[in-house]
This record gives sequence, C-alpha cells and structure tokens, in this order.
Amino acid sequence: MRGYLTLSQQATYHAFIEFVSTYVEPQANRWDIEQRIPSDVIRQCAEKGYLGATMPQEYGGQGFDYLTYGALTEAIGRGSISLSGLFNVHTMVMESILKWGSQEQKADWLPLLAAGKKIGALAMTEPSAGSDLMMMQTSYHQQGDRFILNGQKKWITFGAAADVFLVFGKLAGTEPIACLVPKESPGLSITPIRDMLGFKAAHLATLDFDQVEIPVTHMIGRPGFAISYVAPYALEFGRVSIAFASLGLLRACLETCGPYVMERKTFETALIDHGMISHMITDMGVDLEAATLLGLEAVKAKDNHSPDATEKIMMAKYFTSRAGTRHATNAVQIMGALGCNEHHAVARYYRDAKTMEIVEGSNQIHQRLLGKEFAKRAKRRMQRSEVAKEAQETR
Amino acid sequence: MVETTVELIIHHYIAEHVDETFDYDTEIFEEGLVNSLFAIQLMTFLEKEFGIKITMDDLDMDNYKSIHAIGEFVRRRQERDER
Repeated sequence: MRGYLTLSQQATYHAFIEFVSTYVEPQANRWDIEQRIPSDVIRQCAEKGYLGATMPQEYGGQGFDYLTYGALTEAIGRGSISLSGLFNVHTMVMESILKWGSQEQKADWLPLLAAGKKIGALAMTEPSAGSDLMMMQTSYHQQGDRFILNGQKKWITFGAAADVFLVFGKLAGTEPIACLVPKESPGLSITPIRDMLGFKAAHLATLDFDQVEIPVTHMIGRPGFAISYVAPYALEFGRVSIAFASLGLLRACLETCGPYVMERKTFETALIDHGMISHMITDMGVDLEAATLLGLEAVKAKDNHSPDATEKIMMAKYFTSRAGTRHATNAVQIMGALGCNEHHAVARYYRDAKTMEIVEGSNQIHQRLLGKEFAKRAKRRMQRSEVAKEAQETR
Repeated sequence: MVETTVELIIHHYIAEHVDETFDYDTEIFEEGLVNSLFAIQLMTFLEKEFGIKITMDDLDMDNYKSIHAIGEFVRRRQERDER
C-alpha cells in the first residue's frame, strides 16, 4: 500500500503503523481472550484524533480524505479487526449526522464524537432483520414532541461501549426513521454478547428498548428516508472500513507467514520451496496487491465525489473480505498447530476474516447487486454494439 | 433551453443504468426502473454534476420521482444556493 501513497501520505500512514505496533498489535490476542478492548485504548485513539478522522476541522475532526481514512483502517485492521469495528460504527454515525443532520444536531454531537468524548454506534440489525431491513420490527410512535421507541437490536458492534446509538425503526409501523438515542435513556437495556466467532473484543451487544422516550429533534433526516438514504449512505463508509480493515488482515497473514516459510524447514527444505506452500504465498501476495488497488480505486472515487464510488466500494469490500477468509485459512494451514492456538494471531485472523464477509451487507447481498449490475451492463453494451453494427451495414 | 439541457443530462445518466425505455415523466423508483442503491448514486451524480449539496431539507420523494421532477429540483436548489 505504501508504494501507492504520496510522500506526505506515507508519513501519515507510518504514524498509524507506529501507533498500531505500539498500542494495538501487542495486546490484540489478549483483548480477544478477555473479549473486550479496554477503555484506555479507545481513549488513546481519541487522543490521537483518530476517532474524528473524516470529520471536518470545524467540528474538531482531522479532515482526512477517504484515502487517508482507508490507510488508517488498514493499519488498525492489521493490528486488531475488533478495534477496526470501533472506527467503522463510530464513523458511520458521524457521517450520517454530517450529511443528514440539522445544524443544531451537528453542533451538538459532532464535536463530542470527533473528539471521542462520546462513542457512537449504529443500531440497525434485529434478530429477524439483517440484510433485509424492511423486516425491522423496532417501532417509533410520536406523542407530541417525543417519540416512544420499542423493540430490540442485536449484534450491535461496540453496543456495550457506545454512548449514543443511531437507532433505525418504523414510525407508526410504516415510515422508516433513524434517531439518536443516548445510552442513559430510561427504558434502554444494554446486554453484552459474548463468545462470538470473530469480532470477539468488539463489545457486541443486544439493545432492548422499552417505552424509551426521545425528543423528535433527535431524528436524523426525515420520515420515510432512513432505509433508502440514511442507511445506504452510512453503509458506504462502513464498507470502506471493512474493505481496508480486511486489507490490513491480508497484510497480517502475509507478514506472519512470509518470514515463517523462509525459515521453517521440512524434509530439509524451507517451506517456501515446497510447491504447495509457494502457491499459497503467491496467491496471498497477488490478492493483497489486487485488493489494495481495488480499495484505492474506491476511495479515490469517493474523494472525487464520483457516483461510481458506490459500486467500487462494494467491489473492494467483496473482494477483500473474501480474500481475507481464503488467505487466513491458508495462513492457519501454513502455521499448523501454532495457528490453531488462540494465543497466536493467525487463529484470530481466521476467526475475524469470516466475520468481515458478513458485516455491512453480507457478501451474498453484494453478489446479488453486483452480479445483476454486471450482467445488465454487459447486455446493454452488446445491444448497443449490435445496433451500431446494423446501422453501419445499412449505410 | 436550460431546462432541456438539465433534463437531457439526467436522462443520459439514468439511461446508462437501466434497460427499459422511459420518458421525462416516468416514475423511475415507483416503476422499479432503479433500485434503492441507485438513489445514493443518483444523489452523488446530481451533487457533482450540478454543483449542489443535498441535505435533509431535500429528502422528499417528489424531488426524485421523474426526470422532470429532478430537473425542477436541481434548478430550485441552484437558485437557493445562489441566493
């Protein structure tokens, strides 16, 4: 990745890597075993200004472009996929407020979130509604200047550590809305979820809302637009985070396995000189390069405010998370018994990689959308070329 | 003349993404010509192409239902930004 960055971007990226090498990577296995990231690590991220990475400076953020944000999440993902989840959900909440919030909401929330004084989390998924958000059961009912919120959200990343949630539900059973709900709201119960396969330290939680009252001024956007505009806009940032964190995981696999296969010998031969191992490492390196280029194309499109960014980001998330699973599996195979022990990072890569294929739109949802779009586009292209050919022949 | 240009540009962009034929009054979302993901792409296209910024005040399906509606919305938004 470094080779594709400008000198100034390289310096910033180097600072991210230094931070991760010092404060993240050495602790990441322990966090997984304890199933929690300590609050002082979140505070360190805040002190560095990383939690406000993409926020404009007027709100106390760093004003990073998306390429720099990608480099940050890549570095964090190299050290701990669980910690990358914090950047993912926190950024989605901030970006939603920045795009769809009122001036008052921006002034009230963005400085606190950008400084990391408050942590945000996105509350979208329910026990019976994941990829299909229209199945949401969470309800809002208006009573004067208040909304009454009832329902349950599940698998909420950093739900047990967040201070405020962007909660999606249906107003009067029909119109999707999203509101900011502070964690101290009476009637909100937060139950940590343990023993996940991956994302073990990412403070997943179930949120139960029982007659929770919130002011109508906490609504982000307008009634009827939460699923068609607010959610997909937020998820675009989520997919950037997942794509680049998976890229970090891919790099971790190669940087762990590369030195090992050069030194470890079987049958008096270095592992790298066995064809099967060489094949695995080759694919790891080539996919790392391909995923890097897809990711960079995606964030460049986002930085250019190109409409193509939506598709490019989906392609990057899809490719990189799939490659992560494939190569984390091979990394365990290469490391053997070592890779099967929870004290070794490779076991964590293996568990986390699978999670990345599921979050922020499962890869099957990506296949459904991207596959159809590619086929339709190819059909249109062929039809146009046939029309052009016929026109030429009749001339 | 200005109206024709704005609508033409929007028509050209949407036509790049759909198979069906449609006119300036076809309700593109209501009739299923485009999916929900396209809403964000279209929003980004309008912002970039016409130099506008779409905010919560612009979340009204009447603004996006057809090419005529989108053209009207873009002109209103440009006028508002100029003031």
